[in-house]
Amino acid sequence: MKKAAQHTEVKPIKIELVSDPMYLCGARELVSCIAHRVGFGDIECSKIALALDEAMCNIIRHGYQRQTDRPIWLTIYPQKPDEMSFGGIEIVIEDEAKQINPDTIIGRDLSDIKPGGLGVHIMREVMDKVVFEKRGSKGMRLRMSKSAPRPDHAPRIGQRSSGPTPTQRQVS
Amino acid sequence: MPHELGKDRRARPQRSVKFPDTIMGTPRLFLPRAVVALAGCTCTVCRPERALTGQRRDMMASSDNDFIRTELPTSGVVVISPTNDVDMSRSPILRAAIKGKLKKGLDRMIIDLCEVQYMDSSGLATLVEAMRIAKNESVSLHLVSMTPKVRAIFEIARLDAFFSIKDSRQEALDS
Repeated sequence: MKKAAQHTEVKPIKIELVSDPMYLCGARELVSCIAHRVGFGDIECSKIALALDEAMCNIIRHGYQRQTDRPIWLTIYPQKPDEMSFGGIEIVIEDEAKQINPDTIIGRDLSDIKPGGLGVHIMREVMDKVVFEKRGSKGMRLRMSKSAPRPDHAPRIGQRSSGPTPTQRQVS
Repeated sequence: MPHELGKDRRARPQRSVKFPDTIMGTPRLFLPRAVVALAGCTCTVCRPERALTGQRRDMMASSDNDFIRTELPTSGVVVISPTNDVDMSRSPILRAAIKGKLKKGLDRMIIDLCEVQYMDSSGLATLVEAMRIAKNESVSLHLVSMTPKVRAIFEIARLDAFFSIKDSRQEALDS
């Protein structure tokens, strides 16, 4: 029987956090460790942790208006590498913040150098796929995924990733 | 009960516990085992910091209270060194430290990032703001000793060309 060319699915981990910036470091460590186990290199793990951090910062800053006692649910779906694929990771972040039109969440022009407004750009630059959606009756959901690179194409430390540009990616 | 003493030695014969020969001048042989273990046990349960890698041990040791180190190597030059990751919870501390020192009359500010393994967009925003103030005040601002992970973040945000990034403090002082 022919084996399907799919990632080896592993049961996800789901944790509930409060919207306190103090706990961002714990979420970063968690996703970074899992990404490492899945097969990402050090720099890529750091970038994935950055994307998660930016997403959670946006929820705290814009969604919850810096309230520190609101819930954020983080679910990580690791996809282990096997002989047919190179694994990957999907991160789902849910909140109970005010719902907004997902189409209005766009990054700003980077040629205008000013403080702030980099979060969405960073998420889309780092991850292969970034999807914002409304979550039932209240709150928003963000799905981000990234496939592990082939071992012979993995960027080395200090080398810029050779992945597709944000405009080439399928982003909704 | 101390962790190591409760173990079956036959089960894990290779595990070594280094006790001191004396504790406060008293030979170890004459002290109760519990006292010896509490004072001198080096296992990872009695001394959890031993189980951590270098980077994480540094993270434990460095709290938000000593997050910023400031030095004045020569007249007119100030060096600000964050000693841990710069994220949303810590960037206001860095911003306050920079703004406190970035005044007219200062010749050069060096921000040493050698101990920063991670920086998010709030940290980048803090540094962009600092650069703008520095330009207004005619202060030369340099970022030095950036780790590869932090440099990658600057590249993602396409800010690596905006800042003066040097490999070492000396290079920033000489420029």
